[in-house]
Amino acid sequence: MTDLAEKKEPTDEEAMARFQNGDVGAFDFLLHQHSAAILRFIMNMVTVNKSNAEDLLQEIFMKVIENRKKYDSNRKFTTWLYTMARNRCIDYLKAEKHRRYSSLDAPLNSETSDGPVKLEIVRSKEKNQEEKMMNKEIRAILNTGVENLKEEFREVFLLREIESLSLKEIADITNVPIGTVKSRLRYAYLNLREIFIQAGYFEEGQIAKGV
Amino acid sequence: MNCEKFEELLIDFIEGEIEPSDIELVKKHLAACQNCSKKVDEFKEIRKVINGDTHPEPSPEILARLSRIAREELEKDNVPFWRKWFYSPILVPVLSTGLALFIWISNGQKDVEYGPDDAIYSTKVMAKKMPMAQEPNFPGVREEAVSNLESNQGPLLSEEPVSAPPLASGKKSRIEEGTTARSGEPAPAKEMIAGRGVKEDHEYSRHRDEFSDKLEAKAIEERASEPKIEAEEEAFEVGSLAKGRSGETEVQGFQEVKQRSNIPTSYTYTETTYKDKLDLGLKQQKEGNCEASIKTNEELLNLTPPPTDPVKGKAYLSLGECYEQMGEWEKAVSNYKNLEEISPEQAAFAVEKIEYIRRQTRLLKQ
Repeated sequence: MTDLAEKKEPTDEEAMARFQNGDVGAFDFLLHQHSAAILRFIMNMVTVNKSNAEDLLQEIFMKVIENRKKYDSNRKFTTWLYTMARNRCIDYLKAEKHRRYSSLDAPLNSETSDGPVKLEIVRSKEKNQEEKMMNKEIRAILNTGVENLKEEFREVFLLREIESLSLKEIADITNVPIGTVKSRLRYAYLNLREIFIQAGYFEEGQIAKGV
Repeated sequence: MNCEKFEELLIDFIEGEIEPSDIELVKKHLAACQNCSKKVDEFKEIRKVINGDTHPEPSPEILARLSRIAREELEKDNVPFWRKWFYSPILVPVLSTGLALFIWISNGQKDVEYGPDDAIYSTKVMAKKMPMAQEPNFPGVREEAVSNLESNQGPLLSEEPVSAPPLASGKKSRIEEGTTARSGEPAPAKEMIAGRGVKEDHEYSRHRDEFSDKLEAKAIEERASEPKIEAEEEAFEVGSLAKGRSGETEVQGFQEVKQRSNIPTSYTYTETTYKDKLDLGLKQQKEGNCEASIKTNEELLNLTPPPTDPVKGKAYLSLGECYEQMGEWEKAVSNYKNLEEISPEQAAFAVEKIEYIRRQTRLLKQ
């Protein structure tokens, strides 16, 4: 954001105001600025393949187009945008709840059981390769961990750590007090840590550190 | 600071939103508690992983599609509202329904109208068409009227063709029924109407509040006041029909009247008859057949009614000339004298002729 301001590009709010007045270029700018982040948020939030996530992405930006007149430019644009994205994701999750719960147990179990074995193999590799593999491995664990977070923890965690929104904004988007956002964020971290410990990562890391 | 208190501040610490007053306490605790410092390291590790994570970019097709949709939506803003309406699927059904309604309202019910005036009209028509006692749909009134009539004029319904021959041959038998009803009934019916006029108030006072009765009363009033002539006609008809009750005798009567009127003159003459006669006489005179001409002209003059003066004049002239030619001077003179009287234009000629004949006769006598 600050980078954009320095380059004298319009802020999101200005761009949105211009779009409201019929400037299509302003919409293209907003699309360019936020489409990737929203897609990322969707994919983390509802854990679907890219094609499905893009469908949702399109729906969300269609809502931006449809509801452009309703947007109050005094409000932060990202708050408005992420509120719509988050609501759409929650609706999607509600609709997909059964499928999601039945399909999620299996990968989690295999992941936890396979984890240590893979880590052993990883340790035997060269350092560069090892790090690459470690990163890949860690990301898999992280993704699994995020997937298995409860919805309210997950959205807060994603908005904070991946989308880098402020706690205040997250409170607005999720419609809860900042204190609740903080505690949810802490629970999210603690849950993820548990998963990493279960995967044997932090024990190993600790040992490595210790050594 | 214990570990529980630290955990509450953990997020603030990681996020850098911790109160300056708490920073020292947290640092102190972290230095003392290996467990908590490990947690912070792990959280930072997680964050590092997350930030190093790569995520797919949305495909350009999606972005292009969204951009196009936005363009189209903005163009809709510039479309005037009536064009939106013009192309909307609402317009066609609304217009067609409106058109159908318009046609229906303006044309649909023209033949059948049920206004209050029409109700009056139809009642009037019925009152005219039907004998009073046969008027339908006024149950109470009708019975009352009938009994009233019966007490005044004797049994009326008994004269009605209640046991009339069944309507076997449609129109014809209906006509017959009509004639019987007419010949049998008109007088009582008329009297009944007259009686009604007098007793109307009494009869209808009970039912005055009913609309239908008002209508009927109106109809009766009109009927009672309006057709005096009709009544006379009826009387005449009754009189003539009284002579012979059937249609056959009526026709005979008519023929008799016709014959009677023809008796005084066995021939009827028109203008052309006089003209033909005169032409024949003149033609006979020209041909030299004076006797025939005289006969024809005298017949002409003897016709009743007598011919017009110009025709008479021509006949007298012709006669005069014929008698003169034949040497019957006296008759010629008398005819010329008649000509002189009747035709002022030829009076001079007639006088001249008479003087000429007298001179001739004087010469002949001398």
